[in-house]
Amino acid sequence: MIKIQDNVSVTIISLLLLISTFYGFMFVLDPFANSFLERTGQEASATTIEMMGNVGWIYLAMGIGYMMVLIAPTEQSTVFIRFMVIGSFITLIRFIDLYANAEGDVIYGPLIATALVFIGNAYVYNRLKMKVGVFL
Amino acid sequence: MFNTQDNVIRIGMFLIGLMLLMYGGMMTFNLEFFFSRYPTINADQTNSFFITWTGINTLAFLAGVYYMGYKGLQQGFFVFMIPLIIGNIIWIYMAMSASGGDNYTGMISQIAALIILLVVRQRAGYKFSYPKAATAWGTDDKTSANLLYLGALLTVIGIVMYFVDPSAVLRDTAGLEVTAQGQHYALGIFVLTPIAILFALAYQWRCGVQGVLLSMGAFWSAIMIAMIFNNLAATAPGTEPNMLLAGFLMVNCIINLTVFFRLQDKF
Repeated sequence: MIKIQDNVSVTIISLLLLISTFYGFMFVLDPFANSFLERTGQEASATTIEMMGNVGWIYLAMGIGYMMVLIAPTEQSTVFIRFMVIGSFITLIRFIDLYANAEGDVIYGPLIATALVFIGNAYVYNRLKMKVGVFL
Repeated sequence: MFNTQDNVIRIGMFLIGLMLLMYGGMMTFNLEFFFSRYPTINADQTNSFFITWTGINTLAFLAGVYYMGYKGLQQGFFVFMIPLIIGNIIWIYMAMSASGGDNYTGMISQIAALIILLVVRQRAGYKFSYPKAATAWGTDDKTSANLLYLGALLTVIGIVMYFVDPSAVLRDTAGLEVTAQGQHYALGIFVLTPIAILFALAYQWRCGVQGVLLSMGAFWSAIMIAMIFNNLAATAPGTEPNMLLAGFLMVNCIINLTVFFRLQDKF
């Protein structure tokens, strides 16, 4: 069923799938989204919940993408993982900027999760020999 | 699709997939619409909790249809789904009798799904004989076999626990209330679905594990772990989460995923 032969990569991709699904459901389902906003001290307006839902669906789609990576031959997944490396890197830079300028009590969970997602993607990308140049 | 040239099977399985997608999507992601269609169901947090759970189960069944679409039909799917749908029909009848609801859409679609599954099963040529595999669960992997025994045991324990105290989950889970409708949903989740799971486990014990059932279990587990973490994170500060339920589900998820990853190269 799983085409990737490297167990470490399979484990990391499975964890990335789990993180995507976790955040996907957190943003898509209103009670979890409300709870998330409460914890981060933000106001839960209808618009915010709607926008979070949109982001949540992207996370769920990424989860499906990781599932496809698991069951497809490695060479068919190269572009997806490359995209995820770049995408998670950009997201990480943005999060670092946001957290650097944050005031008061902050929850570091999303920042740590984003960093782990970038490291995980980059490690899998390198480990499965998808890299074509020096950096990517 | 479905590794067959029989268009009746293809159309039948497409319709089953469509129903599962519709109900799974609606119950997981669009509760407002669900409640608007069933006004006799109270739109409270307890019912929302169980309807979402049912929706996730339904999406896992849909994953089974997708799996078979690529890999071909497997008898285990029917061994699981037919008792499940019969249980659902009984459950819906009991719910409608109690609440006086007059929306028969769910009942009709479940009966239609049962008929379609029986027709597809017949056309696929599956007999009511279940040849015994060379070893229990059809595998030499002792760890997987023992975990499957443990899974069967936990399923039975779950059913017994419901009958010992039907309202325990409702009482002990933060945000839920002990209501008649909530208890009826708990009956579906903790008794009728596990009975179908027992059928599937018994079948696999005799005939060997089936890729479609293990894949459905793995899919369900991935979503369920995410939901458990979300529920724990969303529990209000100072409120004790239901660690027994969370632990019970986590152990089941770990069993499902371990067996799936250990045996996935066989299917």
